[in-house]
Amino acid sequence: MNIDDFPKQNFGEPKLPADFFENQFQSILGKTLELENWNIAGTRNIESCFPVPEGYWPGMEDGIRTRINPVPKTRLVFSRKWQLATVATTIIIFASSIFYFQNAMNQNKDTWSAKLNTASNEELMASVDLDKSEVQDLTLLMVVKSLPDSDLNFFFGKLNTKEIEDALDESTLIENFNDLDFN
Amino acid sequence: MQNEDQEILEKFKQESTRQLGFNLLIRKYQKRVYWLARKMVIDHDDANDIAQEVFIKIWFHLEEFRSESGLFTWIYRIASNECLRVLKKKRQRFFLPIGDVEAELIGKVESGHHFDGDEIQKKLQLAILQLPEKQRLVFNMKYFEEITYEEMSTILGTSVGALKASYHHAVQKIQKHLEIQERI
Repeated sequence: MNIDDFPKQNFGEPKLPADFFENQFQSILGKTLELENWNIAGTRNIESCFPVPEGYWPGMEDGIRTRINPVPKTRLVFSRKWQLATVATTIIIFASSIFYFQNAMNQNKDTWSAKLNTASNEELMASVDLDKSEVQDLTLLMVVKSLPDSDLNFFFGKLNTKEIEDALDESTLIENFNDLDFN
Repeated sequence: MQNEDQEILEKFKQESTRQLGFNLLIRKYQKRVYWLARKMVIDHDDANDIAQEVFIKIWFHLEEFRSESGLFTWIYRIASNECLRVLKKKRQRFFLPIGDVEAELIGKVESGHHFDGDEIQKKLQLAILQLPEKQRLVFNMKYFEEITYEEMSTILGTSVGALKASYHHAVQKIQKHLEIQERI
């Protein structure tokens, strides 16, 4: 079946108001012009409503110039990075050395304090190679233990075992004991 | 105006007069760039940052400018993009939806620290801040700066027809907003 086989219908002229298109055009044009020219009186000079700090404009010019002219940005960044790295490294080295020395001192002190506090008379006697009869019981321990920590550290901190043994030999002990009043 | 721009460009091209050319360019355009930004971000510090960034970009890219468009439209294009970029960054930084950035700007207008216009000016600004960012940009350029649609088309890379439609929609939205505010 072909389209031409259908009977042609006459719908007649469309019923539109007189001058419909002309009015429509005028209406659209009018609306467009109205929107285009819309304004609220006295509002176009908006810039005066935004406060700007005194002396801003010359300052702005200078700000831009200093940002584009002086030291190249990359050099500035690098030098800052290097500065930061140097400061950080110095702080780390300084802190580490303080920590190391403090730790070493404490360790030394702890070692000698602990050794002396826990050592028995016999051990002390043996370490200085003394006969029990030559020194009264408890005397050596009392003497050693009566020393304050600071003195212990002072006397023993920097010495090795051999040196301490030498230092605590018979003659020294007797001399020291003679100077002390145990009563 | 064209001659003046031509002189700026010629000075900028030569090493010996480059700084002078750039100074002339700053003096000529600093206020326009700043005000374009200020209307978009309301805050002075933000507008200043945008303006500075725009001129830094100009300094580094002016040699690439081919004079196919006017210097003014080229600068405005950079400034518009920078404004939109800053607003986008604000949203991204604080993970805010669009409405929240606008609410922040509305707060700035209402606080009075960044805006000291009369009641009508204030109402208009608040109505403008209801618009989407790009439409706000179009409205500001047309309404306050009276930039032609043709120039705007070059600046924003949008057709004249689309810009007209955008501006007309913006006006209708503003009218509607003001009407609602009147009733309240």
